[in-house]
Amino acid sequence: MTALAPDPVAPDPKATAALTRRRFLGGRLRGRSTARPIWRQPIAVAALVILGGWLLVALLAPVVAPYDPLAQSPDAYAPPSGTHWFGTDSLGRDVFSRVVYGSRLSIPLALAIVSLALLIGGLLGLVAGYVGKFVDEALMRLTDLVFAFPQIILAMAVTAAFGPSTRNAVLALVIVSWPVYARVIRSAVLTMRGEDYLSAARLLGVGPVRALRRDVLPNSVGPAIVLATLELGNAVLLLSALSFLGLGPRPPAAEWGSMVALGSQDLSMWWVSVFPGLAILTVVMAFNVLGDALRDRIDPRYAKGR
Amino acid sequence: MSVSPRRLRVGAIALTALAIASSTACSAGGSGGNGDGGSAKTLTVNTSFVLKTLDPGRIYEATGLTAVHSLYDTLLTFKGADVSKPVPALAESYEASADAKTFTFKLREGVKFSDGTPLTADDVVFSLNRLKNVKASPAVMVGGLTFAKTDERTVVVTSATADPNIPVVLSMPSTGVVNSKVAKENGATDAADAAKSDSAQQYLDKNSIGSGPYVLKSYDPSAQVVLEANPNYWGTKPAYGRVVLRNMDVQTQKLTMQRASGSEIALDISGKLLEGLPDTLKTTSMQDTVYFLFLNADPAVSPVSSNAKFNQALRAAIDYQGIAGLYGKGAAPGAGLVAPAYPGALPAGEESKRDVAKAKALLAEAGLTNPTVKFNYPAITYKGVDLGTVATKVQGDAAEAGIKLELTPQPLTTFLDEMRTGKMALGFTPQSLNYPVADSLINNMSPGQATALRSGWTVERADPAVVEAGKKVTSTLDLAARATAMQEWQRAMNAASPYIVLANNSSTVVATGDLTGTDYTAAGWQVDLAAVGRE
Amino acid sequence: MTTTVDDAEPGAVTTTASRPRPHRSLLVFLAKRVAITAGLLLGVTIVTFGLVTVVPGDPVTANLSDQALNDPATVAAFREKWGLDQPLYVQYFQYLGNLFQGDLGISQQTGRAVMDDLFQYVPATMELAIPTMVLALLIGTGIGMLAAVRSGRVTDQLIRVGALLGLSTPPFWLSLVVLYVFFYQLGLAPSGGRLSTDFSPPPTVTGMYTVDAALAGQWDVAWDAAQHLVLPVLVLTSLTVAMLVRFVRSSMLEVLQQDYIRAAYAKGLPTRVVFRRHLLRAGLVPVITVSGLAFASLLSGTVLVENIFGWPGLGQYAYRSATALDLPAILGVSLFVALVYTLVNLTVDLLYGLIDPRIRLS
Repeated sequence: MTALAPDPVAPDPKATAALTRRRFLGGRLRGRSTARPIWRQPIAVAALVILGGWLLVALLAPVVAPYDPLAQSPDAYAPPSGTHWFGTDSLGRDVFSRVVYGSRLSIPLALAIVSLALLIGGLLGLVAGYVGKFVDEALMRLTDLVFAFPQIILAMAVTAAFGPSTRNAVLALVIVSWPVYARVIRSAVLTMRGEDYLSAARLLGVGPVRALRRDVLPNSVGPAIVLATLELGNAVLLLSALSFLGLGPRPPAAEWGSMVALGSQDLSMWWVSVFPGLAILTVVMAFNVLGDALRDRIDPRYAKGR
Repeated sequence: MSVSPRRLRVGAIALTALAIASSTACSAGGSGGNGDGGSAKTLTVNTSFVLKTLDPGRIYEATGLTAVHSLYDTLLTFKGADVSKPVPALAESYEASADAKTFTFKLREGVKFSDGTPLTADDVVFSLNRLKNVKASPAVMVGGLTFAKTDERTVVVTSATADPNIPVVLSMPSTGVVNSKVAKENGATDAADAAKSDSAQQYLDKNSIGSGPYVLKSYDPSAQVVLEANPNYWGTKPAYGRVVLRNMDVQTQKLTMQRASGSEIALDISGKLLEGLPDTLKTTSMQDTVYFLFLNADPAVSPVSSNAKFNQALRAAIDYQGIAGLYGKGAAPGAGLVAPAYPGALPAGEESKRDVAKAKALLAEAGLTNPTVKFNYPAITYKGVDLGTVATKVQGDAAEAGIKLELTPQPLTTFLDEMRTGKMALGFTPQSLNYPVADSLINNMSPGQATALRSGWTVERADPAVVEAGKKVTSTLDLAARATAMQEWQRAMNAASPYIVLANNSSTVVATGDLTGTDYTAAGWQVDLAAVGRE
Repeated sequence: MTTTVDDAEPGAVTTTASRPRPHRSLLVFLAKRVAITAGLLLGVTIVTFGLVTVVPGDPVTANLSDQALNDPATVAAFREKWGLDQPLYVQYFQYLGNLFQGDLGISQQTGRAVMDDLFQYVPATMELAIPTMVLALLIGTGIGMLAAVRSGRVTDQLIRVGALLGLSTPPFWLSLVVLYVFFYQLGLAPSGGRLSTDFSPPPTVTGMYTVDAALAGQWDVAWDAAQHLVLPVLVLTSLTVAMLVRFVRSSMLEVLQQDYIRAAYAKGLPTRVVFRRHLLRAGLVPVITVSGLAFASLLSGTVLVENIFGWPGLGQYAYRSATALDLPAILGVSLFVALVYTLVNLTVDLLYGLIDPRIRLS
């Protein structure tokens, strides 16, 4: 195997690679914080503001949206105007209201995908790292299998096979994303095993479950959180891609990806797809910036400005 | 399902949707950006490919039918947009017996295949028997027919049951005549076990062995099919020496046609997309597609959908004008199951009307408050219309009357699978005929017939008047009287059947202004490529 | 990324001294990797086969007309022809048996051998992927290094924001936007597809139109094909560059912190010399790592981009097969993708050792 040899802290290069694949967390998984605080980074502050804005919009959707997002009207394909800020779509639905309500799908679903994947992947990673041997081997080969498919292709096959729906789309995306977490957590556990915590704990007669809870978990939370934040943006992107292909939440749900798809039926009605696309862009960007900032806190090597 | 093969013989309804491989996304092909397609003697046909094969014995999909019609001659054919009466092609004349069971075809003299071999009655009989025995999708059209040659120039077609529309069947591209010698050399057989033993498809996908105006130059089912003029063609040589059918999604077709300078055709631009096209383009169309809902009549499947009052309430809740508006230009609220392009359609003015108050009253009568039904539809774009958009409109209309429809888009395969199990409470599908005679609707959608049974519509659950109206049509041999009987049948169906006709939509040919003969035909091949000329 | 066979013990730093003879270790390494790849591919067949067969969606329905479906004889003929009347495990082993003879079966959708389909669609995708990778590696590495060297300044900030934008943009949306702007509004680029219909595809050598046309001396065809490449390659490159820039920047920053670089600067060596002697080489290692990853994201990107640009490549084939539940085609695509993916990663791993002697195979 290839080992990124100089860095003893990352025992599993695939975990590193897994992280690398998700925006390059690098090798060092735990760390001290010397980076500038988030509130002193203008980009991060902007991202926080955008994200906060979206969360508010999602919470207050009925107040913010001037129309019912599902209400159809004969006024189809109206360009943006004072009455319809973002215009209307082919069924005369208000695009602005639909973009607003779209946040109620994309953001919580992304959170659900990431937390489920984190939970499942994390647990399996813990087990693999702690038990080792055959269990570890089997689980790691399973992650290899998932990694052998580009994410969207596997997700597409799973949803196409089980039928498009919100539940199946989430399920498919959890299936394609848990291995990253498993790798990272396993890696953290292995590091711990090498670093005397566990042997010391064992000497002190601390049981495995307790050892996991007391030492391993707290030490792997950091990288897991960073990774999860970075993955949130990816989850929003993948979900919207599935929806764009007609494999996401069912109509008439206001989902951004399917709104872009609706708009793509007639390019001259640019407003139908441009605005939901911008919504995806801003949310994903905010999640990414936030993830970056968190990573810089935890792993200062990547903090900017040095 | 207990369905006798005899009844299926003339079956010709096609849920053509079946063949669509999710057409919005399934696009490929060339560009049009440079817009000088007319410089050479090439005719470019842009279409969203629905194409699996060019083997006449297996052909079923729209794009393939357009190509095969130009590659293989049939006994009879249709000229231009007129689908009322077949005209001579390989057969210079034919006679029908009075009982509509025996048809005698006299072959034209001097017809040669593209390789120069003369075409004989043996080739005709071989091709038709092969079609029947290969048992692919088009075989059902000729299932009850037998074919024989009486001399070198005479072919006799015998039908087990009376059917005045056999000549129409024998105008369809799948009955195209292949060079039997070459076909056999490449694995073709007309034997009874041809379904298993015939292996000619791969050869026929790459080579054409017909006598039609064009020969196949290249075949790529995902990108383009190239035809070139047949040097040995017996008829008038086509104006274009080369035809390129290229795969292009509808959106791009519109953009391409807006910039095209000449010799270019698009087959799928319809409805809303027709708006904003330059006036220089020629558009011809036919209302040949019916969009309808089907409710399950089996109370065990859904007590709601099988409720006759609910059926009437949903009928009254739908905004038919609004739905037709969704399809755009060329669409109209539907009157009956037969589309206006075909004989026997109901006249305009008989379409259903919206009445939300009546819908609510009917629901109250039935004792249903906020009834909820699962509403399945295939997640595809059909003839430029996203079925999801139409289904969403129906859902919105129904909601106003207090009916809750749960939209359930499905991949086409899954949808058809579930539909076939007969467990679908409420479904939505487009329908077009794969040959221009509507009798097959009766053979499938009358109570107790194959398609009707998928909606749980048995004879016991049906109004006897509907059953009678259907029998009246099939027993009438005179074509004009048959059309009238067909209208009566549709009125009976509208009064009490699981089918709610939403709208008729047009199929369209959009051509650059320099072209002639680009009329859309409901005959199955969309446009007769060999008839396209230049001004 | 698929890299390893065995698992490292924590803290296992392989030192040059403890390293066994390199040739033998390389052979063992290769043998192990081949075994793993074979196992992986077997796994892929099982997963895909299982996925398609346990779920609803009968291939018969997808491939016969509505009328034909009502005719039991036609349905039986179809089932028999495609072996669908056999028990599942028999079907699977038949498939495996054929696989070893290089036969991937026949696609129910196209009616052609899946192998033939792949031979046709793969070069089309490669024609997008190769220029994208080359462009992305050049631009991405350059900009990434620039950002690292200018770390903290305005240039760096701008690059970081740009990269973030690229990374956060939905590929399908970006494709629509460039199509709208460059084709619909400006008319500068063709709308989609690989070639204008005025031209016939050049004689097949590589299957890539630009290359084949050039080989045949058909310069007008090559030029036309190249024009069709512009928009899809633009979209794919922008997404890949964004990924590369971030990676290169952060790994360069790390290198810049190393003592030997600091020492070099302290010695008063000019930036140019430090850069050429140390930074470039150190910077290349992560670029190689990420090129494997970039390739994977490229494959994902093609599914969406090919669909919008009407590009008859592997991505579109994958989408059509998946939605039509065309089992042989789905299996063929999965196997191919998995194979390429593991091969790319193997190459990446081997290149590592070549470029950075500190890294070795164990």
